[in-house]
Amino acid sequence: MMVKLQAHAIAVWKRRWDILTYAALTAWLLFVLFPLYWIFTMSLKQPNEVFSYPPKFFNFEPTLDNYLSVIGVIPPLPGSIQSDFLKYFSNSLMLAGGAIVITVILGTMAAYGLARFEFAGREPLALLIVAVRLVPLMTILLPLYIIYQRLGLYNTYPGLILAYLYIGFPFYTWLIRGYIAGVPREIEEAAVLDGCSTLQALYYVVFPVIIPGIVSAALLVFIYMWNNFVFALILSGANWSPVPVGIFNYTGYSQTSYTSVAAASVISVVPVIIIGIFIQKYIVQGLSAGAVKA
Amino acid sequence: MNDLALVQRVRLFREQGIGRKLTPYLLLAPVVLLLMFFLAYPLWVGIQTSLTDMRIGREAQAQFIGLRNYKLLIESGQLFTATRVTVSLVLRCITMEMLLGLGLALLMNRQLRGIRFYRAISLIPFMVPTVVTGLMWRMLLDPQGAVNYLFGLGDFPWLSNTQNVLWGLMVIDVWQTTPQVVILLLAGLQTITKDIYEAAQIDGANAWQTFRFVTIPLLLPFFLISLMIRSIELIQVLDIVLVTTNGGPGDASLVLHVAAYRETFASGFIGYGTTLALMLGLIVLFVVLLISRRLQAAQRAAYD
Repeated sequence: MMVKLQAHAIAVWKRRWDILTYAALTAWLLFVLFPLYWIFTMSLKQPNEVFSYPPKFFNFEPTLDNYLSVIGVIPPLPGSIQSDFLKYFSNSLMLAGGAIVITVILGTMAAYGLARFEFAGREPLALLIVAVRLVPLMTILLPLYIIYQRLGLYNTYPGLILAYLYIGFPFYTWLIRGYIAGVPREIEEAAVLDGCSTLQALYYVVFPVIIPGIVSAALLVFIYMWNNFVFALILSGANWSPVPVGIFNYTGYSQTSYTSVAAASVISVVPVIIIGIFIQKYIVQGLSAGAVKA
Repeated sequence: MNDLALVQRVRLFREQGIGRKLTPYLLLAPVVLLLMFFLAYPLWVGIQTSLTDMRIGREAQAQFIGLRNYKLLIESGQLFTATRVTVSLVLRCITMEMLLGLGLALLMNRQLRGIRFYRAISLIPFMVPTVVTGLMWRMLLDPQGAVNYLFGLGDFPWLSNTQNVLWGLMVIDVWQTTPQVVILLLAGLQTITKDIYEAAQIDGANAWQTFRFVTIPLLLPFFLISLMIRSIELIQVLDIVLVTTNGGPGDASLVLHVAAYRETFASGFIGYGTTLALMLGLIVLFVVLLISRRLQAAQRAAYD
């Protein structure tokens, strides 16, 4: 009898505790999702509804005009960001896309070198790669602004690709290094016995095994590159601005049409969130592995 | 190939890696060059620039002025003021993010139906560009905005009042970066396996004792690591402030990193701005050394 009562009491407490857990997590979820919902509704509103008070949560006439004007199908709305957005979008694609291809090729090779070879300076180099995150951006970006002007790299494609490489290359190398270290050495030894050279062993044997890791790491780094704006803000002028710089510039004007900027924001965020959900597991690994091993 | 030759070849491979001694250097040359160009070279140019009165648009006329920028930085009180604002923001954010992150990680570590959904959704802010985060929250925290309306706060000036602006920024930073803390602490919690808890139960520990003597000490290293990462990142906080308040109103949210940007591009004094940025770099370095020493001690304590 006693035992039964006790068990019953425990079950009641557990249920209460479960309900509390769900309540707390749901509150957190609302905090996370509400701003995104808000910017989404903003992108569907008429420009004059933006600052209506009380705010309109559901009761507005949705319109696609903001999206259509942002991508240039219909003429720009008053004060809107016009069709420049398409240019920003293609700039972003070319910068992050170009940099990610180079990162995957050179970064995988660098990671292989770090993971598989003993050589003088290996430990300091590994440390330096991690330490990149510790250097404040302005500490290097203000001098780079001068350097870029001197070398004629300012507001050029090669100059910005270099900057995007700096955003992603070291971090990618660090992630893939961990991945390669987890691949048993024996399979490369077998390949060498069959007459492979170093690069052949990497390309034919290691590469196929770690492809899932490479894809996820590349996508994670792509998100970093896609979202970064401080590098391009300082090192590019109008013709190479990526999406974040474009959005930032528009928010500086008092005449800004918030509905168009919201539409532009949604367009630039949606692909990232889709990628993010796709590589969710790897984001967790990447964020924690990079930290714990450092 | 006979057996002996095979054995020798494998031994050679193990000793030297695959191929020649030069190979690793060739493989790593690109990343080394990149780091030289983006770390070593700018630091060198930065130190030089900080000793001049260089201004944007008139770089060629820069004069060597010795340590006058450094002197000005201290005598004008700007270094002190900006550091105070930075520390004030860092303390708010870090307290909130660590407490909230710990609580959420503990809850998300429970084996409940649908918990994976909660974990997945709470990752999203990490993927939103800071520019969009800033824009979104500027609208939400507007005196006439949705937050004040929903919570019945009248026209509370979150970002446009010197008294409140750091609290407003804290809300935004908590939204954007708490997921990072949660992820790290969850990873830590998952290293504490079931059998450790079972062992504690067999020893007669109740729920509180298990939490106090198993969970806390084993989670502590992860807690400290994420505390370290967040502190280091927060001292250099830039994007969020830049896109929401740009240091204002007045100088109320002018953290060190934004001050370096503003002095350079709003006022044009790149020599002075670079000096500020170098000081910030030194402060970060100092904090890293300080915390990592503490961290090592704590880790030793946790595993002994």
